[in-house]
Amino acid sequence: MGGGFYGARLALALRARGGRVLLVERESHLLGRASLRNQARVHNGYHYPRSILTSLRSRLNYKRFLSEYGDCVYQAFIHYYAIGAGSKVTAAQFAEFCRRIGAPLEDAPDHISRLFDASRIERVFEATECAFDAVKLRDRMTRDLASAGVEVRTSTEALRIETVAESTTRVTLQRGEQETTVSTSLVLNCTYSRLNQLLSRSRAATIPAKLELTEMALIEPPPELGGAAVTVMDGPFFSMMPYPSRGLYTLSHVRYTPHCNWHDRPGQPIADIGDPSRGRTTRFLHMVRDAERYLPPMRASRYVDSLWEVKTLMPRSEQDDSRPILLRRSTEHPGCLTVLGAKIDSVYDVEEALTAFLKREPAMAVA
Amino acid sequence: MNESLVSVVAPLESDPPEVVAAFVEETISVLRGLVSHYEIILVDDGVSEGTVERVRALLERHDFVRFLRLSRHFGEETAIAAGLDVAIGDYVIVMLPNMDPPALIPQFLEAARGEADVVYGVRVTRKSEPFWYRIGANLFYWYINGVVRAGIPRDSTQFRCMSRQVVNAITQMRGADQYLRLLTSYIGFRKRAIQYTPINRSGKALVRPKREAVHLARALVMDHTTHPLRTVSWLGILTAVVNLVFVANRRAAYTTEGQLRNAVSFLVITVMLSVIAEYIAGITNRLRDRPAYYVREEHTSSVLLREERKNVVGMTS
Repeated sequence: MGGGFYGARLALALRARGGRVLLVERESHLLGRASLRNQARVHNGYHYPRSILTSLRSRLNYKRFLSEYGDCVYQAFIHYYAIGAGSKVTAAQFAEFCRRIGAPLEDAPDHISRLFDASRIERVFEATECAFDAVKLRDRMTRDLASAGVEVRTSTEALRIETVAESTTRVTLQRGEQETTVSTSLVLNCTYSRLNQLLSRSRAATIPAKLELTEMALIEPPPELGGAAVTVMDGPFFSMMPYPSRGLYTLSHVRYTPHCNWHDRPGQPIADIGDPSRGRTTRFLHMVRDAERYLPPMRASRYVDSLWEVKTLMPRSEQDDSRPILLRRSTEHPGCLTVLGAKIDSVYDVEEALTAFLKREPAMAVA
Repeated sequence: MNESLVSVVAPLESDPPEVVAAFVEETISVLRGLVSHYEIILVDDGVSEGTVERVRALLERHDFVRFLRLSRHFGEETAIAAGLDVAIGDYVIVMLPNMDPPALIPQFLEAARGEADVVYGVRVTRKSEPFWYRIGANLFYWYINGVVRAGIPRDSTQFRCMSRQVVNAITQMRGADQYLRLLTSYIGFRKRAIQYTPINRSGKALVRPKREAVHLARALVMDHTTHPLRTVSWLGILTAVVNLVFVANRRAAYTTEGQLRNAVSFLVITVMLSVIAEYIAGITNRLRDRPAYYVREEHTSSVLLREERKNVVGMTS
């Protein structure tokens, strides 16, 4: 259930083990929601200076991702990491951290460092990273699924699941007005922002998750930066990165990107945000006004559009930057596994966990 | 002009929950009709738990409210400085929730957009204050404006509106004490005063406690000028000369007059030493070069719209 990057990857993984696999997606395209909007967000480890473990894992996954999906790379770009004065991590600590995880880092050239406000920015570093084109990635995944023989149904929503026999789970699907059912031995709930909708409608215990309605502004960047990405860290920081499929840049800000958050608590009704952009106005001006205090040329950036999404976070991960994955079997419906990972490349960790699970439960692996 | 962002910074200390709520709601309704983008920064400088709870509730109801919680009570001036450090507005307005009326925001903003870079509030009358306080205030303004010419506008309050340029100039100066009234007079720029009568939401007396008032007056003087140092130096020299003249005239040292002379000299020396000690204390504080404040946590608005609250069927089992 859920044809995002996770759903597609896991469908391929299950198919590779043998058996029939059906991938169900609510939108008209695969990889149309979070996977599309967070497209460029495959990090090379630089973003997590307070958690060396997360960084190492991200670096490994990044390399793996790059080798597997190299044909979807849009371009390599320069990324300037500016360390705020009085931030939680000093420039020296950041440099040492990058050395330890083996991430290449240099001082940014003078003509770039000078663009930043010297009283607020301690030091500016330069690194090279890759941006992925989400549309290319979508085409690639669609091709892979077709050639592997995974059946894909788009514009179809999984309404609810029922346990009809010990190892048989029935899923009710809705396409338009039409309802159909399929029976299976294993359901993977990969619906990211709608995990609890499916569980709740199936009368199953929901995942205690924190949800966040987020906005990333799509902008034309100031010309002085020459197409580079910029991240100011740590503490209340902002990030500007290429968004290849629209030829624009995303601007996100730790304080302004989350518009609101709420908690889904087990046993309680859950909120349903339909279209996340409805009734909302952009916070671009707030983002850019704060950004220009650190990097004055940002004032010249031009707002084009916003990307709205509901993110699912695990409350536990609030403590540090290392976001664990979640693979939880439903008690009410033992044939259903709920899958969640905060980053696109955590899918590798999920695959490992799933393989381990199927080894313990061989009956579920056969469809 | 339409695309400008206005920040309102308000330090909270002993303000009760209903004062803060009334202030925030009133301010938002004024700002909504006035500008397209705004933020309200409430700085917690040691408020009660009740007020914290109330502010958290406000964050769920109103967008663009920020709650900056300092690690302890640092004092009004430092709380304002903390607010200015994080404010992002093209114009920043400083207000005390209890006494500054949000209804005047349009007037302040208009003046700031026009001919002035700093617009500050001046209270029309001090009549409501006790007699001793008015005497003290007169003495203070006589000294700081008449004698050392600091140029602190008489009866000016914290209520002020500053352009981004001015805010940047102020936040780049990091003294041990950040007295906005002194800093704004020091940095110059074009200024304008707006007279107003402070309101009093809490209904409690608006007067600062005596100790705090004396401390503030002392700190403002010492932060601004070394004039007291020079004054006591001259006083010391004068006393020494008088003493010398008397001794040269061979008056007896052990008469009553002689003892009085000794006592006066001792008093003068003590005064000199204490003034010098105050300045040394000031230097010591500055040499420590510690951050002026620490932020414990920052919260921002998280407003779920009405239509977003609609619930999916929960578990009925």
